[in-house]
Amino acid sequence: MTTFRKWRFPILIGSGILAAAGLIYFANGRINSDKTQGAIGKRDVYRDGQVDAASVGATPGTAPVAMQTILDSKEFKALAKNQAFQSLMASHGFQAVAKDQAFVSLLSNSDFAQMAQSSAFTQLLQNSDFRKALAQSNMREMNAQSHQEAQKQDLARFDMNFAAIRQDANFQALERNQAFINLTQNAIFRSIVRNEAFVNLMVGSSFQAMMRDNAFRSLISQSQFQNALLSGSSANLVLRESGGGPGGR
Amino acid sequence: MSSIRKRFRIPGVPRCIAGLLLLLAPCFAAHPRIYIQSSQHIEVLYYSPAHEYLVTHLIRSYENALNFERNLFHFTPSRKVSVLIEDFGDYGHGAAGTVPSNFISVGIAPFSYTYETLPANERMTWIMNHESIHIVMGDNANGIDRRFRSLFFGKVAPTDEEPVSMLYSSLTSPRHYSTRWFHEGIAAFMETWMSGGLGRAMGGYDEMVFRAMLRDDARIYDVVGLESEGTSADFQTGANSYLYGTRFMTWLCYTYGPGKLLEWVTRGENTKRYFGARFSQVYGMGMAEAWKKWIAGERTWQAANLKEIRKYPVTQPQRLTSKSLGSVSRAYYDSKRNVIYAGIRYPAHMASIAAVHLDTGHIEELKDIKGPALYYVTSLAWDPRGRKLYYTTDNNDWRDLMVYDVETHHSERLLKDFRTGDLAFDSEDSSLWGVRHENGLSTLVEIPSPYSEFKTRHEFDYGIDIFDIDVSPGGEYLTGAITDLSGRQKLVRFKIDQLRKGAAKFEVLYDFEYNTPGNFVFSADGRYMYGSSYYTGAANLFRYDFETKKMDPISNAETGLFRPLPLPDGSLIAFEYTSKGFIPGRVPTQPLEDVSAVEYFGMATLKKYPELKTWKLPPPSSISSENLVTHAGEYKPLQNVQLISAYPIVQGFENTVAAGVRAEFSDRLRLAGVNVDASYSPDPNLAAGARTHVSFDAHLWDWKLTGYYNYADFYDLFGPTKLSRKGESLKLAHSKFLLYDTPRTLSFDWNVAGYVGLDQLPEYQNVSTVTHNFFEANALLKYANLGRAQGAVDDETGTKWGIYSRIYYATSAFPRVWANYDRGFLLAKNSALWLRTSAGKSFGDFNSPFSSFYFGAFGNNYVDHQEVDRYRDYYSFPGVGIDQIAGRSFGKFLAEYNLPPKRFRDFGATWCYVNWARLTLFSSGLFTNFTSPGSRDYYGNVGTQLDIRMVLFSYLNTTLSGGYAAATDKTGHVSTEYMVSLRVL
Repeated sequence: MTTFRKWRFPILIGSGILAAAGLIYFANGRINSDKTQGAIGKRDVYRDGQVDAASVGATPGTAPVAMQTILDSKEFKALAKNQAFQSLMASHGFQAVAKDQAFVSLLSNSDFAQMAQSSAFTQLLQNSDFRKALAQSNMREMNAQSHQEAQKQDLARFDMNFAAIRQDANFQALERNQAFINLTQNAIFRSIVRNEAFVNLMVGSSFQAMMRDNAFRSLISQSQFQNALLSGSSANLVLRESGGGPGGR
Repeated sequence: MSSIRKRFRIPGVPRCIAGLLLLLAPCFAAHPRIYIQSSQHIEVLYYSPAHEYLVTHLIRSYENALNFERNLFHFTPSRKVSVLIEDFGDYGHGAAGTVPSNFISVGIAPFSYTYETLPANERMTWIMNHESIHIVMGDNANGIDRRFRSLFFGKVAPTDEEPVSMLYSSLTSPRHYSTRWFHEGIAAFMETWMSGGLGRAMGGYDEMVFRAMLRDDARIYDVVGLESEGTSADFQTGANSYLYGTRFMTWLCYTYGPGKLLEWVTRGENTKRYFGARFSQVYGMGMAEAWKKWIAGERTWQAANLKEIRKYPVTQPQRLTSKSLGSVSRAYYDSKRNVIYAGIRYPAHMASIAAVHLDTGHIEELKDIKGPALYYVTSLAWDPRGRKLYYTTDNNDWRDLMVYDVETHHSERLLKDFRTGDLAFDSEDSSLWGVRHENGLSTLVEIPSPYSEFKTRHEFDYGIDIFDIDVSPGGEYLTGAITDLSGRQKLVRFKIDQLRKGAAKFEVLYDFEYNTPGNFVFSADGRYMYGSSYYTGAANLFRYDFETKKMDPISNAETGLFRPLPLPDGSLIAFEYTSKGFIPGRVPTQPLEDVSAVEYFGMATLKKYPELKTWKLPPPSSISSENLVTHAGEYKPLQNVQLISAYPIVQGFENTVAAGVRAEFSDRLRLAGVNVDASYSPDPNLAAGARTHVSFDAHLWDWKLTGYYNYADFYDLFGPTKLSRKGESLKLAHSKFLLYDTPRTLSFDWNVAGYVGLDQLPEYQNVSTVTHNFFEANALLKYANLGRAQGAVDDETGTKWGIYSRIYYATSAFPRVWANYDRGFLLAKNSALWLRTSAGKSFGDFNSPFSSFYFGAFGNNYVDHQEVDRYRDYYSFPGVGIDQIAGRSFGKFLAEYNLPPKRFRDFGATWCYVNWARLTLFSSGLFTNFTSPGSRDYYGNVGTQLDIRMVLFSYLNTTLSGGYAAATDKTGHVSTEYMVSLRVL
């Protein structure tokens, strides 16, 4: 009894240590080993792919080489001294809208090109009822329908959704114009017309003037120019008054 | 006419180019501007400013790879590598060639991560690592190769016009003539170590493919059978070159060490020219023997892995079909019909949207998929209320959005070229979500009903890609797998209303590190997501619990389980990978606690040879960008035309032999170029003016200018068809695609030609003319929409038609029109039935040879380079002599049956083997002069043709054909014809 009393604490402490060691062994042993019973093995595979954005340095949006090529092109040189072109490229409104893919897509749309030169159309664009009617009307599939059938429905659609502006002289002047009908059915146009900056641009004299210019229409139909616009480089297309070259020189 | 003669008698490159400039100036404006930026060893060409942001990174990536390859392979490029950046497809890819110049094409779109077939790290560096190895293998030269290159002014490209070019090409680029598995195998092996383990030598999919072969006791192709059958008749087709090649290279490295491997693949002094011979030189055994040893080793390795997996209860799916579906898309369950819908693609069938009936296992093919992808087939989404399937076509190009109504079986295209896949349907508002790829970037888009436009919700930075998206049952969340530049991947969740507001903040559900979270989809109650991952080495199914936020494995698969499909009752269907493709089966959903890890052979190789880690490249940013670009500006094809090669040739001219030289000039993109042949016939029987032969063909974009002076042709040495002509010709031709929506194409071609001093008609060798000088103009409208199932050797289904018109002007005008219409039907086992019709009418003086069509014979030469199956052409009529039948009007009908091809698995060696043989039976009827009762005639024939495809020098397709036909006319006279032909290239 005396002996037990003498050793009871070392025995208790020893037992505790053994129990703790056992717990640690069994608990950790079951989790860490990939191939022991009761574990989800994780594949052992070498992967050393640490790369960060800085070491790649690929940021979309700039194309200085392509831009310089555009500046050197004969189409651009023909336009470079045109005041309306300079004014357009320098305008913040154009720079903002030109980054919009929808706008750039419209630039090469023949219906849009035709309408953008029409004063009736640009005046109509300022009519909020017209824009509201465009926004409220639903898209319709054109694919399966004949042209005539489609045209009939277009007129019917104008009757239904455009009642508020049927008396508008500009609308009346355009409602049978095929380019106008096509454009009002164009999903991209219907979407972008909600953009106030786009409407302001359309009614501005610089844009209208340039859309009447064959050289400008040729330039904007080129994909590299469109991409330059999308990448926000339109400001770089402005010649400095010193005549020394493009902006940013 | 005399001016043409005078101008043409002194041909020469400057004159040809001047002629081109003069003639083709109007076409300049019609083509895109191309830009170029170059460094010391690479020039990057691109057509879109939107791709320019990648140029510097690509240049640094290549220069970085070259620094490494210079040391490891003692490689110095023969000339700058030209790299074309393109965005013609919705998934990234690369391609490389070294003959005649070093060229890499880089498709910049994000990769397809389906089944983790590719790593997900930064892809421009990864592509350049892979493709630059192709350049090393093909371009590396020793002193002898360099001497031949010097002799022939460069590396010779093989051309079927002058077959001796094959010999010269093999002398200047011997290692180019290696099997595809060699090229892809070494490139995939090296890409892995150059990218720090992120490559296919360390890929879970590759490991699974061979494990499945052992588990299924399937054929592992031998070294010849892989190329002759494995890369075309197997459901993985060409991907097998990568899979087998990588594995064999890894085995060689594991067994004999990396040093020996490098010794084999490096073209150095005193090395055998042919890659197979060099193999024997290095390893002391033949390649076929080594391949057998590898297969034995592979079986042992995979047996050990299967044993490890089988330590714990294996998940055995309860299979729903008796046969494999090949590759499969994401699948959906239709409770109304008790079927699952999926896009499937397997050999001898056209890829299709299919309904798999769960009660019977019947596979109902609903709708062919135009342009299926190899692995994911199509992006598929299901609207259960509207009972419509949304899917993508043109999956290897720019994808279109299609809809298929499962009730009416009507399909319709909704959006063309919308470049979006990974579709997910939101049942709450019937909108579709998808991932759009454009200009190398991934964009999350929403396509609201009625799917006539899409809205951009978030564009990710370059290198951040999202895929395998899904929408929660309540329409509140969108989930997907996101990968970053380092290749780490996460399962994430977006709030849809936030996305619509322009906020793309996401919650990480689970970080999978370097494993792909494959196709995670919501359970019907929205509590769980099920998906797959190679976390354990094998692709197992995992379940994410939104309540506990725990990810649990629910399978212990022997091969791999993919694309889980939770059913409304809580059960689960998944697709099991087998050696023949994927098979759907029911699997349990209970979480498992015991799943063994699979060891990768690539990892075992690394453990044995840790020095492979030293092959990892430093980041491309270690190449200073200062003064890196030495030239930048516009690339003008015509200004970059240069001499590619020049070499001696032999030609035939009117039964005589001529010797001469051929020179090829071209720009790097082959947009402009001219080939000039000049030869001389020393035969004294020829008139002095007929002994010199010159011809050229020049092209710029889609314009072509060709001409000749006493035209000679290599194949005239062998007859019986003769193309050589005494006299002179100058022809201007233009081709334009009015529709290019592959496989649907509509083209309009026209050409005008002048001939001087001809004794025979240009197209008809046996028809003499007394009018030696004349003009010809042609206009051709051609449409084709042809298809072939996996394993095909020829077109098997579809439609082809053409409308042709020609006018000869000699002493008067001789117009003619003709047309053809062909229709093919795919039958069992890659056999096909074709019906071909044609009809024509000519006008003008009926006594002139210009006013007739001429028919007769198979048309093949003993040695040939044109189409093998010439009996299909309207002017062919096997059984009678060449041009024997004449008619001012005609109608022709041909029926042909192409029997199933027989593929040969082990017939030959790597340098020359037989690929397949195919027998065709045909019969045709020909009616002539049906507008003139007095001279009306008709003919009939029956015939057969056997085509045997062989591959020479491991690379060059050659076809040996034999044919027999018997023909009869209206009098009952019977004539017969035999044909033997060897088509080269």
